[in-house]
Amino acid sequence: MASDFLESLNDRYASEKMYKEMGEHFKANKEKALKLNEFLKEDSYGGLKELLERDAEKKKIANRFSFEEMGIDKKIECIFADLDFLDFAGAVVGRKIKKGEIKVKRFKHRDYTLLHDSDDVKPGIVFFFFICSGWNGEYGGEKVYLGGKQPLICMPEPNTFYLLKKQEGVREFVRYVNNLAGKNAFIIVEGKLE
Amino acid sequence: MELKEWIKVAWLEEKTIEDMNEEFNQNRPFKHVFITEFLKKEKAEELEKALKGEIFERKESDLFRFNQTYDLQDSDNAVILEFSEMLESKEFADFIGKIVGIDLGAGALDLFGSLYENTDYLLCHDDLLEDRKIAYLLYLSDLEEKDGGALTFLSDKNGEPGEVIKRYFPRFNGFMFFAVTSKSWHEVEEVIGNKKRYAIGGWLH
Repeated sequence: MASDFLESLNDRYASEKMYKEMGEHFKANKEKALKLNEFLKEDSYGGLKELLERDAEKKKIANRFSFEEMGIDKKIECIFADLDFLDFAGAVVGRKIKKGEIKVKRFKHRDYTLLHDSDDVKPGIVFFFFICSGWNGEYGGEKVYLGGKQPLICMPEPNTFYLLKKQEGVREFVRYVNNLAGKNAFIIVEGKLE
Repeated sequence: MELKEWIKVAWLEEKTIEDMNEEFNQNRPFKHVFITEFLKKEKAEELEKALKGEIFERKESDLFRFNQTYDLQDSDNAVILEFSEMLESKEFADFIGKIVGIDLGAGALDLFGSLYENTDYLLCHDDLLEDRKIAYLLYLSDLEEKDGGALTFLSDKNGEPGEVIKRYFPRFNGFMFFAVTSKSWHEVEEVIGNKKRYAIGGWLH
C-alpha cells in the first residue's frame, strides 16, 4: 500500500528512474539545488491551500523577522514527515536521511525575515515547499540564499518544492512583502534534513 | 558660516536651544527632537529643487529598498554644496552639540539624499556603526498616514526591539535628529501609493 507521501507525489516524479535522474541533476548542479514544479498531485495540493486562511500565531522581532507560525497540520506531517519522503530526499542528495524537522510559516503584507548574526550558517540539507494561490514577483516575498557561488532567489510559486544542500556560511532571508500583495499570502513549509 | 543664512533665526536663540536640549533628553523611547520649519522657507525650496536634480541609485538588501544619492559633499550643485558647508561648519556642530549635550566634531558627517517610492522601506535597525553619534534627517516632502513612509521609533526589550512608541510622518522642512546607541531601534515604514518621500540625511560623528 502506498504511503501518504507517495500517494500525494505527482506521478511524473514517482518512479525510481525519476529519483535517479533528479539525483544526477542535483549532483551536477553547482548550487546543489533542485526545484520541482507541480510537486504534489492537484487534489493533495488543493487540500493544503486551506492553511492560507487558518489562524496562526504572529511572530515578530522587528530586527529579525515578522511572519505567522502555524502548528504542524496533519496533512503536512503525513507528507513531509513520511519515511518515503525522507527516502525520496535521500535518493536525490545521495545519502541516507534519518529525520526531518518541519516548520510552517505564513507571510503576508509587511512580513519578512532578515539576515542576523545569530543565523544558522552550518552546512546541511534543507527543503522548502510553497503554498499560495498565485504570486506576483512585484509583491516581494522571495526566499534568498546568499554566500554561495551566486545568490539563489526562490520566488513563491504554487505547489513548488526546493531541495538544497546549504554550504558553510550560506545565509537566507525572505524579502519584505509589500503593499502590492494586498490580501494575498503564501506559506512556506520548510525543514532541515539530517 | 552664518547659520542664520540657512536656519530660521528663532531656532538659534539661546532660550530655544535650552528648551530643545530639555526636549531632546526627555523624548522617548530614545533621545530625539523633531523641529518643524527648520530652514528658511526659500532655502528649503532651493534645496528641494537641487536634490531632485541629483542622480539617485537604487539600493536593495534584506533590510531596505529605496533610492540614494552618492555623497552629497561631492555634489556639483552650488546650493547643495553651500548646505553641506553649513552642516560641516563649527557653528553648526556647536549648535547641535548644545541641544544634544555632547561635543561634535566640525565637518565630521555623512550626507546623502534619499528617495522612497511606492513599496520602498527601511526595516528595523539601530544605526550603530563606527563613531556615529547623531543621526539626522531633513525632510523635503509631506506624507501622511495613507501614504506610509513614517519614521518609527521602537522600544528596547532586553537588547531587542519591542513596540513602536513614536511615529513621525515626514513634513516638508522638518529636521529630525536622534542619538545613535545600541537601543536606537527605528525603521521607515513602507511608502504606499504615488507620493515620493525625499530627504537629506546622514550622521554626525
